[in-house]
Amino acid sequence: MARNIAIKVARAEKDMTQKELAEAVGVSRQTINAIEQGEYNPTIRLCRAICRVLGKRLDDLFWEEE
Amino acid sequence: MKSRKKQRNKLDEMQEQKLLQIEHTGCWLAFWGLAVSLLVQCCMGLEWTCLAGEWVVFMSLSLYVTIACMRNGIWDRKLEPTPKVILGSSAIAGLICGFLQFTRSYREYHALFGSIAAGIFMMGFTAVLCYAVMSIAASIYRSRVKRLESEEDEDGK
Repeated sequence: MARNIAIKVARAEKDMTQKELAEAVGVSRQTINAIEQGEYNPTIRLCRAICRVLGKRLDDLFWEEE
Repeated sequence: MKSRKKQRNKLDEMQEQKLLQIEHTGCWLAFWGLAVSLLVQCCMGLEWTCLAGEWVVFMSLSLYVTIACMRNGIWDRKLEPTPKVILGSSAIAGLICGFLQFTRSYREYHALFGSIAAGIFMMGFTAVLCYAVMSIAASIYRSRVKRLESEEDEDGK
């Protein structure tokens, strides 16, 4: 699985650390880190929560070009 | 008296998946550990009564996994319950039990030909029994899958 740079960028735009994002969506920092590193494939529920907090659409953060 | 609230799950979804993976590995370690321990103790000639506890745990685990898989229409990750697969599995089970019976018998009576005969008899008996049981399980599995696949949607389609 490829790294998710989009989340990292969106997080930087909001000036949020991994810990802050993790607390906002109710998961651990290691989960956010694993998502960004492409080591964990989150459920749609968590994807939606991340999008809501970062003010992005699912496509912006989780769509992978072929 | 204050009613006790259900304890909240402290794990998030990734940690939950990791824990499931750890439990999965632990479960199969226990399963194969018990299987090997039972086999070794049988070869050593221990009485069946000495193995009762391990046997009950092993059989409970096996029964639980079998019934849970059947109910969910699952057979195996890679294998399908074809006659060839059932025959192969039964042959392996027969060989293990035959070898076990041979070692037990030879250890007890020191009669080579008698022990070989006992081993062959046990091998054949176990293989036939396994084939029959697995064929029944396969037919239950097929009908269960058929039923699960033909279940209607919520809107009745």
